[in-house]
Amino acid sequence: MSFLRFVAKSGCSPLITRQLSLQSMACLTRSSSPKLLATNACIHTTNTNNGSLDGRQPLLPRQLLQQLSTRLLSSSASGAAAQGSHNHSKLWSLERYVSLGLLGVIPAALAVPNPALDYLLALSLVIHVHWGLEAIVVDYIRPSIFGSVVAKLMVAYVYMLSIAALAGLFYFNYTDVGLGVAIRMAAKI
Amino acid sequence: MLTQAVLRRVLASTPRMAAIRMSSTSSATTPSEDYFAKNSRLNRPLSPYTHYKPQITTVLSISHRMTGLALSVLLYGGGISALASSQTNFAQVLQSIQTTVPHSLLFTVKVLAGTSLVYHILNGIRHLSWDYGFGFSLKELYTTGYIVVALSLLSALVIAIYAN
Repeated sequence: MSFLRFVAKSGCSPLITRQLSLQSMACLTRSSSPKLLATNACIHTTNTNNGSLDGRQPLLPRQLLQQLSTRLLSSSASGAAAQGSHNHSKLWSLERYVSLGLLGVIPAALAVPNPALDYLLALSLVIHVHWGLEAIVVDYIRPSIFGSVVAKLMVAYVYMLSIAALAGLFYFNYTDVGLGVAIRMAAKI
Repeated sequence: MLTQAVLRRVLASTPRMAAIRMSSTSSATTPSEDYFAKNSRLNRPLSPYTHYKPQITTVLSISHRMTGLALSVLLYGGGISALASSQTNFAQVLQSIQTTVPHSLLFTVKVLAGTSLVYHILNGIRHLSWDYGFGFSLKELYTTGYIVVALSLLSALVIAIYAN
């Protein structure tokens, strides 16, 4: 069912989503093990037993996948089916680029401590940690368990923590020894 | 005479067809209901998720998250306390920590924090390899997983030697 949720959220037309749901309903009602789309049991559904509403045979998995891929590739940010339109793909890529960047910045800032690398390290670390904390909060503090108010409040709290931490680290970089030197000193106590 | 149209309408009017129509159209066009609320309303069975055997895939994944969380607490704790305190001499802060906290505890914290960092970085590289599209076969997952664990344990040893 999560596949249907993904499909609905990606901006698939209601027609395709309904066809997919009929397909999966046919699979489930046949009480065989439902593997996502391409099961032999689904392809051989008879028309009268689990047929679609307009009398047509449910689409074969191959055709469904073709329709899905063209829809997903052609539409850019039409996530209008679920919440407001929000194309997450650029943020996702940015998260990976920051992680890659951190792989270089951490050894550099520790090996050659200087103010520029200190600020860069602080900024990229806080961004990376912020995304991680936000993912944890969104995954575990769900509206279905805690209610929508608490869930939104916790996400806002993560934002506040990140802002405070970034401010604190920048202040430390400005007034004190700086992040690179500090980590080296702390490792020696 | 059972024409195609009549047959269609008869089949569409059965309760199960009505339920399918309701569930599919409601989730496709107007998602007024939360995913979990809908599934509990339809009284769908859950998988026996409490009986799962610990496997390297899941254990490493949750350890990645837990080490990330622990390191975040360290980083954010340090940052926010730097903002809150009036102390601007880090050497003095370290001095006061060294006098109040016993060496054994300091050693433990350093080894744990260092190992967590190394593990998180190594497993992070493993994650990034997935994001670039390779390493998904079961054999590769297990091999890279065991390599990450072995290197992390090795680093724990190295850190313990150097932190003493």
